[in-house]
Amino acid sequence: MREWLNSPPVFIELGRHTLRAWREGAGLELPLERGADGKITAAARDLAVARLQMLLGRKRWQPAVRAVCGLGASGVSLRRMTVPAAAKGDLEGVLRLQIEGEFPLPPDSLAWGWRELPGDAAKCEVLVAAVRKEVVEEYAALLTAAGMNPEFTLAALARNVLTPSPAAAQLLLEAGAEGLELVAFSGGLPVAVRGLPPTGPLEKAVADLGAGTVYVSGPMAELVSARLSGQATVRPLPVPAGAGGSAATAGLEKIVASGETFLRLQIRTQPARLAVKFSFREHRTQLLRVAALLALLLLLPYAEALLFRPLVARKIAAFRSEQARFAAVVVPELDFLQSLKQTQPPYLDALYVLAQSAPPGLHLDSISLNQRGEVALKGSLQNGQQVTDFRTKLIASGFFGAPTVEEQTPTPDRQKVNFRLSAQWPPAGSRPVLKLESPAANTNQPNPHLP
Amino acid sequence: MRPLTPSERRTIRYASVGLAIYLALFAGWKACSWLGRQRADYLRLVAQGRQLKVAVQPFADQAAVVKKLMEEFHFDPAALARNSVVADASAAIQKAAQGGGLQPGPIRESAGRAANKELATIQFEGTGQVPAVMAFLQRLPTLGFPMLVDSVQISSDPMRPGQMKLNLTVKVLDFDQWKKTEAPHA
Repeated sequence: MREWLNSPPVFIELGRHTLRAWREGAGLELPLERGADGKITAAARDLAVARLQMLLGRKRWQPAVRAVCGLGASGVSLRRMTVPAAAKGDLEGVLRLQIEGEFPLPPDSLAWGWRELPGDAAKCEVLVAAVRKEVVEEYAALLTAAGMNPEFTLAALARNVLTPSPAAAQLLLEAGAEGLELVAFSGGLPVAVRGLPPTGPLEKAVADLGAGTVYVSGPMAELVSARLSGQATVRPLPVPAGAGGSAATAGLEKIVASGETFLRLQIRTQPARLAVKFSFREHRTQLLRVAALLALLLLLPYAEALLFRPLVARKIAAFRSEQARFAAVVVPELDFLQSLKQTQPPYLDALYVLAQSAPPGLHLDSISLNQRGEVALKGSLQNGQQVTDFRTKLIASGFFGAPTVEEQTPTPDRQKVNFRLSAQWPPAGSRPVLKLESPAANTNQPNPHLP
Repeated sequence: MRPLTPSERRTIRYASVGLAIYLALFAGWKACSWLGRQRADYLRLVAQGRQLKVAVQPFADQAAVVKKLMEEFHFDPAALARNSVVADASAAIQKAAQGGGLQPGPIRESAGRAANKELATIQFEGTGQVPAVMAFLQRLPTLGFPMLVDSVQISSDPMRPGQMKLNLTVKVLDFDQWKKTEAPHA
């Protein structure tokens, strides 16, 4: 995910008239046409932006791509400066003061960087590289427009890491069609820079800068090597094949891959005093939008009331009419049906209890039941004990309150006992709920739920 | 008309500006109070709506109970025709008796007591075996009429052993009268 969001960096060599970009084995080389004022023309700038965007293939939502750029030595000033070791805490501030004294331009007009040189502990020796701010700003604007986040260093530093021993004293010669760039290195850092025309006194410049191997790169490398072959040891720098491939881009890639810190040329301005600069004229549109939103926020509750009040009133009226209709139709029906259900006498339940409680041999003459719950039964049984048992069972069922044997008379032949029994079931709610069983399953069997 | 002096023009200008500010403030205040009233009314309506919503929540349960009871009794009180309900109920009683194996006897209809919200009283007599009598009694409440069994008398028929005589009094209730007055909650 992180790699997906942070795409690999692009390495760029920036010459005065050429831009070479290299990224993951592919690259491009672009001309940078300049106008009479020395600045890149708008057409060349637009072309470069478009081609670089194509090379990056970056989506709009993706973060800017890191671009590590190497500047040509033309226009770059190098100075060795010595500062007290105690000043290391605020090295940048001290260097700023020294640059102010030693460079022709103030530090705020320069893009500059430094590297500490190895030395004794008492003092701190620093190599400062500086170039005009406008040069870096012009390139930075172009690269930012193409969706990059540029960092600047010296191309010669990048070329130096390609040599077999970067810390050795040696010369690096970039032979371009525009001119020759000769940089002397010692201890891995540039100590002198010479810019020469293509046919300039190269041999003399090499002799002036001292002995050592001369590493050559650039499109005119072979020609220059031939010129120096009798004077010094000349070796070519390895250059990746393809458009955009150069010793500088290869060196930059190597530096980034190794994770080493490198000399960064940055526009370091004096920290500005905290001041709020706000122009109403510049932010007029945004202010108007904010004001409109605030007004909308304030008015929305009132607008809601004005817009929805009739709708809500209509809905409530409809709701009320529905409620009235419901109350007029459903509520009487409900009351009527519930009353009908509750006042329906439990004739079947009463007959069921009587049948379950009746002893064998009961001869039933008549039974009458009415809505008030009164039950009158007339019949005959074999003896008085059965009548007593019958009444006991009726009492135990709990369905009838207090059964009364109103009359119990033996027949003249003493074979039977005629009896009249009356009872009353309690009102609904105080009667036990009967658990009726299927008559098919237990025909002629007493209900186990009854005594 | 004489031309106005600069002092007079300035006075008029100031007066106009003052008047405009007064009118703007007055109109603004009026508009604000009107809008405030409208919003208060709207909020009151919304609160009423919420109360109504709470009030009608039991309606669904009541409707379900009514539906269940109508299915249980096999009739819809609102759909009953007052003029024919007694005749239809009487016919249904006879049909149920015959269908269940009960031999119908005399049937008497008399006007019910209005105070008891009754339409009529039907006295039914019939003879049949015990299962037929019991089945008839069981089917009676589900015949589809608002009938309340007032009394049941079952006696043995000495002339026909195994046969029972059923004497039944049924009250046909008047739903229209029920609607007119508040129904007692039994």
